[in-house]
Amino acid sequence: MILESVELKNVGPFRETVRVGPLDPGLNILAASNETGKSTLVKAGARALFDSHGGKSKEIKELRPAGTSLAPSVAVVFRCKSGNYRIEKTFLESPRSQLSQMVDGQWRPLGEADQADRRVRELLGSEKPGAGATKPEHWGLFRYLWARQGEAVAWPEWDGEAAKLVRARLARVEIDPLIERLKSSFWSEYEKNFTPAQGQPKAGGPLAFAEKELGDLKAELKEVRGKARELEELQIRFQGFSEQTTTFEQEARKLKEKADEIGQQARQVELLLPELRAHEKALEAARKEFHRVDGDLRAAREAQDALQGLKKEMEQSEQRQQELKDAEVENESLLTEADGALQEVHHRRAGLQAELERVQGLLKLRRLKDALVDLQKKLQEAESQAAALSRLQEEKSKIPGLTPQKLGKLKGLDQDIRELDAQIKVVGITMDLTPDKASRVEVTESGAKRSLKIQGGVTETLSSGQALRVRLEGWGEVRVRSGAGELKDLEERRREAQAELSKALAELGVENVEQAASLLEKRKDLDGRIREATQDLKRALGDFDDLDGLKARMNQSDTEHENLRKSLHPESGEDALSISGLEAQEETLKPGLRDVEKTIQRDERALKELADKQASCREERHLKGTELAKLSEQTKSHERKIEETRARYPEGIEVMKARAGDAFTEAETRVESARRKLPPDYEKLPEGNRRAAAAFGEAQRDLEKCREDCQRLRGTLEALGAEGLYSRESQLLEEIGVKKAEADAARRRGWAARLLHDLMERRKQAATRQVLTPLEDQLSSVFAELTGVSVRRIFLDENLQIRGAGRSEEELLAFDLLSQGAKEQLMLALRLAVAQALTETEPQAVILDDVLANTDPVRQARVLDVLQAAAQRMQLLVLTCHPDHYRGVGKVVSIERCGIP
Amino acid sequence: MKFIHSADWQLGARFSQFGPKAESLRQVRFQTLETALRKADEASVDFFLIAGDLFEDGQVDDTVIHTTFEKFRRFPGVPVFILPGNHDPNDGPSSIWNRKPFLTKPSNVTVLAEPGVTECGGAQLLASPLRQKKSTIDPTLKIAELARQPADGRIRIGVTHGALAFPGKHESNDHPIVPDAETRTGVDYLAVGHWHTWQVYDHGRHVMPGTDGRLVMPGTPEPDAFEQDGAGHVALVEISSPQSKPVVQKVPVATLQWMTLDLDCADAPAGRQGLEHRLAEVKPAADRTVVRVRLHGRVSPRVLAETRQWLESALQPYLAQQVLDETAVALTVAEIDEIKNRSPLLAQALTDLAQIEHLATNSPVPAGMDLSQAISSLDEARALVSRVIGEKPEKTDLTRLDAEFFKLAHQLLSQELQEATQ
Repeated sequence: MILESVELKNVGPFRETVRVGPLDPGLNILAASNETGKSTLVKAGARALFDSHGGKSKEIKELRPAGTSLAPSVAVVFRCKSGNYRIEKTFLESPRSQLSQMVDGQWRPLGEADQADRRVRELLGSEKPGAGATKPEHWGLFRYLWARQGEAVAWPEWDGEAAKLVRARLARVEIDPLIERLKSSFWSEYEKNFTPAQGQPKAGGPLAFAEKELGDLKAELKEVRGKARELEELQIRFQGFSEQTTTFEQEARKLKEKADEIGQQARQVELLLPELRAHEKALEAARKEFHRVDGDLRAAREAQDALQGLKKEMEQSEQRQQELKDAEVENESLLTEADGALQEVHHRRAGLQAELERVQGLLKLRRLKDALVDLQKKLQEAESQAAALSRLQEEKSKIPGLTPQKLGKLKGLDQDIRELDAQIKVVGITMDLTPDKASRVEVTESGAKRSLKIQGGVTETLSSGQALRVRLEGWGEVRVRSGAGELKDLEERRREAQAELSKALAELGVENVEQAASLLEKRKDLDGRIREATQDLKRALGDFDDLDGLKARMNQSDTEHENLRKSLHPESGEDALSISGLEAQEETLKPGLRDVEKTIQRDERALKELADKQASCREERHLKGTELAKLSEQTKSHERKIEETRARYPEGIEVMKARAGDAFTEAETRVESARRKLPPDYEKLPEGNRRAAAAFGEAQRDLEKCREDCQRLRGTLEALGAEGLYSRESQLLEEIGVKKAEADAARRRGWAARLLHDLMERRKQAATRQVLTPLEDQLSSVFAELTGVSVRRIFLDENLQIRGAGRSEEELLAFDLLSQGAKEQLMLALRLAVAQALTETEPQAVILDDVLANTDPVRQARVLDVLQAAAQRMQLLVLTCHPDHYRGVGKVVSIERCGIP
Repeated sequence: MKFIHSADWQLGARFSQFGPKAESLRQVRFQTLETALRKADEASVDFFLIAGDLFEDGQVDDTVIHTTFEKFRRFPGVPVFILPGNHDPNDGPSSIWNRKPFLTKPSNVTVLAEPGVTECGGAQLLASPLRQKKSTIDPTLKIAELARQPADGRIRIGVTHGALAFPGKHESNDHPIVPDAETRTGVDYLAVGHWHTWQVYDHGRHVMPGTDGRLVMPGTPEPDAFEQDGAGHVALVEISSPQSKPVVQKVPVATLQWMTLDLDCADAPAGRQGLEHRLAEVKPAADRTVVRVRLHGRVSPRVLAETRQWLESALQPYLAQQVLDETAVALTVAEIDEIKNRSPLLAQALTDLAQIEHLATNSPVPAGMDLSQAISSLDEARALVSRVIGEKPEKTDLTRLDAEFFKLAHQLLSQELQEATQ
């Protein structure tokens, strides 16, 4: 539908007839101040189009001018695809409704009253409300196309037939209601048994209940099986005990037999043992007697043998004693001879020693004399070098104390003076005097006089600053004055420099700078020569620090030479000997002396050996004497012992031994005979008897214990066996089978329902996404144009509600969190998209009543672009109180006062 | 002389697979015991011999023993000789044979708890009872030992329990008995228990039905599983004199019949009709019939759900039931097309379901279903399933969802779709 015009009378602020229109099929801007009735115009238009003329609802009454009972009249001219129509309605007082259609340029009535109302509803696809005034949800498509004041950021619900139509146009396909129904059913089925979030069995649900019962049954089964296992283990133990009992019984029987046998033997031993003990005692006595006699016999024989040995030993000792005595005499003679020879060699060594010492003394004397001569020569040279050095130092001391720094200062002053002269010369007075013949000139400058002698024909240039007075010989005085002011200052500075230079030269004792430079050069030359002379003196002194050290050494050598000479008193022939001669003598004497030393050492060793040998002989002879005395004593002792033994055995000791041997053999035979009557190991029998009895006792106790355990186990087994565990297990397994089947069935059913639900949900989401994507693209594009931000995408949900905007799903900013301005712009974009979709079948009018209140000026400009572009395809009526925002775009319309035709 | 040789009654046995019906199956065995005793009484046998495994286990409830004794007491003229077998060995104080009820056992009952010779009806019973559940020792060795004593012209009947030691047909610790044990022991008849189907041997060779043999294993008198041919009998044995050939008669005593019926769901109406017919045949003996229905064929979830629902009521009258679902659930091409037309999204979700089923169970893709647009990544499938079963994706094993699960999913979907359509 396209709006052509709207006329009102007795509506809101308008008591007279006002009209808006004719409207343009594109963009229309109705700009007026607040409270001038813009929104009232739209509301009244809607009432005329959608409400029954006979309505008396609050909303209809509110159309009247405030405080009046006037009947509001509204006329709307609109165009549909079926033609141009005009609906005129008067409400409340004498209500009427008339619909006309333009036919051949004339309005022709189509119907009146309810018929007119109904026909308009048919044309516009709107609905009649049950009671009261219409609401936007009754307006059909216009619900989405007309944005009323205050609804800028809210989108109406997508319900009703019109919504379906719009959604179908927008998203092309609808989600199959069958899918929703199946999903809902499957979800309900799933939720019977599972929690939606975690997918766990739901408390109180059939599955949880069956699982609980199953768990209880399994626990009971476990208990029963535990008992069954216990029974099996006990059976095994019982069998073990049974076998063990048999073993213990056999063991106890064997042990008893053994104990009985040992006991019998023990009793037999008890009877025979005293006889054996008596024979053993007799045997022991016979053994002792035999051993005693045998001992005596052996001792007597040993004593005899020892006596023989001692006598032989004594003979050998005596013979040895004599041999030693002879050796002592011979050694004494050898010692005397060797001592004499040694004394002689000592004499020879003393002579050689004295001769060698004199030769060495003479040699030392000669060497001292030569050294003394060398020292005298060195002293003379050093004294000569010292005198030269002293001269040079004296010469240097006469030169003023000039240094390169001082000379530099002088040169600096001189240079300053020269430069000042040059300056004065430039600005001052220059006078060239060239006499024909040699003349004397007296120059007075700055009060100072000087005299110059100038050769004939030679030009002497005089320069001065401010004034120069020259007295020419034979002519008179010439005064020249300069007018330059600065000369005075230059001259003053030159005077100061000259005074300073003169003072410095005077201090140094030189006449001028050149002389100072020459003297400094000379001083440098002297310094070099002094360094050389010092080096020469040091070389002449050699190891000595100075001349005094050298002289002291020479005096010391001289004294030493004199002392040695006095002690040696060399003969004249000796004085004549050269050092090499003396050294040859020394070398000749030294080997002879060494040979004599060696001879003395050898003879002394030989003498010592002889002395040692003599001492050894004496000692051994003494020992032999002592030994002989001891042997003699021992011999006597043995002889006494032999005599005593013989005295004890008057019948002969051999005979007595034979008798004792016979007695021992007889006793031994009696013991053996008694032992043969006893059992083997009869000595261990009592212990064996005790052990066998103990072992039997232990086995008996084990057997009893085993029997008791067996008995106890038998009771337990009988009790357990009577519990009917197998039957209980069977029953439980059968119940478990049933419960498990129940639980499995519930689980499978829940899972199957969930799987079907999820598969459908997945497909539904995919389908929704597929159809939403183009619409989202369109919205995103318009929103980008409005905002100037192209990277954001608009996301819709399956109900075509705006979820938000963002670069991606993950970065989506929810609609509610967007700024008011952004929300307004998004709603505008959606509204334009809806209108665009509907325009494809019929032109549409979009009314935007102050919907961009929060849009900033920059975006406002973009909005104009978008609206202008949209106006190519649809009618737009913008109501605004900001005419400046829309200046230059669309058609400006106004509320014009007129009469209703 | 004449006697009944039975074995392997397995009283108090477990039937976990039948859940609440297990007790009924246990009770039936007492009924069968009574039948056998009655037949023995009617045949005026000299004694009723049980060659092991009268009880399923040594730890059955006292009630089982009391009920058994009650049956024996009803036939006081039938002397009963019971040998402990490998299920109920005489293995010590906890053995069933030492339980209190045996202190007051019926006077006609003798337990051959120890190896030995027992006189009965002019014959000698050479018993070799089992003392443990497993053993590698041939229990007939003991009989051979007992047989060394003079027979004094009496008929000798050996009785023991164990597996015949045919190579590959027994475990080495299953009380192996040489197949010609009756010859080696020299008894006139060797009564053996252990295997649950009828077996007769002579000189180590299997004897064809109708031919007599000296070594007999009568099998369990009451079958305890489906397709257990050769079970449900006791042996009525007649021996005229020592060394004479025993005459062995196979006497049926079983109470229950175990039936396996097939239902081809691919053609559900025809299959149901056929099954109904078969069930009607056995309906008179419904309280003695254990039915197992094996569903097979390719079937749509809706048909399968309907069939199972129908089966639930159809099998209700029978003592115990089992349904083996071996069907392959799949939507028909027409069904897939219909769903595609009704809801493209649902059709897509179904391809995803088929793909996950394929990944989890390696099942074939239903005809007419294009998986090219379905979930293709195993990780995505795992992530989806992990949410379903409440596990972390890296720990999720798709194979936890088996074919049964997907059948259920299809059934749920089918059911909901039906309701949505209504």
